[in-house]
Amino acid sequence: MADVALSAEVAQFLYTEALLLDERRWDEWLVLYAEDAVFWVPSYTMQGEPVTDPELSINLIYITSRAGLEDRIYRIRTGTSEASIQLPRICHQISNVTTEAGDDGLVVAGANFMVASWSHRRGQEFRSGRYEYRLSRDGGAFRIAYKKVLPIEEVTDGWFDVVSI
Amino acid sequence: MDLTSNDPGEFAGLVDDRPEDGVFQVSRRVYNDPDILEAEYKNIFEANWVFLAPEGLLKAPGDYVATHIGRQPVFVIRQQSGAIGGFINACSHRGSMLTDCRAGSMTEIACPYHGWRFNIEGKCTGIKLRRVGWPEDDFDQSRFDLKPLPRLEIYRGLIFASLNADVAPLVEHLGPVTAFLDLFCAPAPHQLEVVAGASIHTVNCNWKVLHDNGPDPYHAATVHGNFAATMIHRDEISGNTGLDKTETGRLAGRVAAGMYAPGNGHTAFWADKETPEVYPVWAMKDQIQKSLPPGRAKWALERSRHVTVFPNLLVNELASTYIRTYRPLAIDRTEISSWCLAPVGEANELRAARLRKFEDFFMPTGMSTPDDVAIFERANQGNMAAAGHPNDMSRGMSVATPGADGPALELGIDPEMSSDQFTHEITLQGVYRQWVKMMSAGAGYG
Repeated sequence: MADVALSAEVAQFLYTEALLLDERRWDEWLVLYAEDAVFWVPSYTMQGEPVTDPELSINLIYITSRAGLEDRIYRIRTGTSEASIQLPRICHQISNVTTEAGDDGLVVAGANFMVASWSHRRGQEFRSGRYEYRLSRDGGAFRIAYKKVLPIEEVTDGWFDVVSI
Repeated sequence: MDLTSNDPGEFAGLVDDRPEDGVFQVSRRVYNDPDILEAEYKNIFEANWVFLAPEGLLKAPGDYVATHIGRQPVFVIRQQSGAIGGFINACSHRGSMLTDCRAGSMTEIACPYHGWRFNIEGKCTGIKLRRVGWPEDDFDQSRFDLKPLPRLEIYRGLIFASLNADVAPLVEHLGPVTAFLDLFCAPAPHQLEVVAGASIHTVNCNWKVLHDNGPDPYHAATVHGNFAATMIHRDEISGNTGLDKTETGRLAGRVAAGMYAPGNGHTAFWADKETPEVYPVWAMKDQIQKSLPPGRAKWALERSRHVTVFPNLLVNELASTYIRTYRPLAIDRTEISSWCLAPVGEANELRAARLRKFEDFFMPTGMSTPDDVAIFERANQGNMAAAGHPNDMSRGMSVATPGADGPALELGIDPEMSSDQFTHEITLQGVYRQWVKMMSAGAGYG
């Protein structure tokens, strides 16, 4: 029997994260992450399978601390990143939220995502896939201990960053 | 423009190459005219050596990589003997593509259309209902063997092939670039392996916009200044040292550097490492210093190196060995495939440090390549402006040195041109001289 209250709480948390990204409220977004948070976007192998061992594989993104996420925001805010000076307007759709109790009191959650984006230079783009989370508790609030993003696309058209997926 | 005439003047007219006046300019039509791309497929990609894939992707018999030479689908496969075979990726019956995966493994090759079968040596081993179609007892099935690629050679684990049987031997084509490719493999006794995972991405630009960027460190301080600033900030607030520290000397222009036009359209540039001890290769310092002469050991340990092989390979060694190939999909669209090479048996800690830096810089989701990609697309838009100036690539033309400079002598190479300024454009001058030569020769496959 699914824990309905927990599922609703997790869904609200994921919606909040998505909204903070859509509204570019990155400082509030960073607070959602634990200091030793993992943010992982696997690459696909030539055989078309996502890599399974992030430490020893090439990943699209593999960041193992909140400081690494802060670097991404710092770079965007330099104002000299050609890929980031005209950030796309983005809109996350989150669905198919699943939750289960994990080890060490963590909550294991999953959700499908679809990010629609529009920018002057690349027009309308869509990226879709599934998130996997491990959430810890800091007092009452969730903190993201682990977030894996698995896009369905094997070939990346253009580029994306931690704030636009 | 009449591209069927093969009049050398047609293409030579697009590149204004006047060393005596210090002028080197390239018409923007080379980037925006679809007829030019058609001629490039025929006269460059299908007439020259092209890079296909790192051999390390093909570990066991039956492992294959499917790719293209120009417009034409091909695949390379590890055969029972251990040798690499290369074939046209089309059934000898009615042309259906035999595999539509990028890579995989097969024990035999079965055409999905009419069920014909081939072994991994390319022999036709089975024709469905053969006797119904050809009842002759002396029917010669071997005429349906797969068509091998006319030329296939491997240098230092890099597989090259050509549809043109008459190309010069690969080492002759590579010329002085072999010395650089040897250095990428200098950490012997360890062989290099291809790290799991790949970067495959598409960009809305002409393939030459991408190719021009490889040998162009002039852009680095502008486009990647934000990356250097981010890394310096991180090192400051975290007190990073050792393997965690990021080299920024090159991006900030604080180190000795130079570039070469080695000939045949290839390019090379180098920069001294400000902090060579932060690189994983430093762990092999003693072995390298024992096995190489002092000049080459210095190149292996203390210089970052970057080469492009005309028309479709880039290899560099910054934090790690990076291999990139690219193919034109359309006049304004290009697909890029990249891999990371690392020494077999490397300690996990060194490997992980190498890979995280690789991802930061080279992935289309990292902190440098997105800026390159955004610039490529912007440059491609601007290159539609054929009514504007031609693109100028004459920087350093009047002050570069013909032949070898000091570092080239240390490496033992004799390039066509050398420069001690890596913001010069002698590399691009070499690229477009070869481009004119190949386009004008109209060697063309078939």
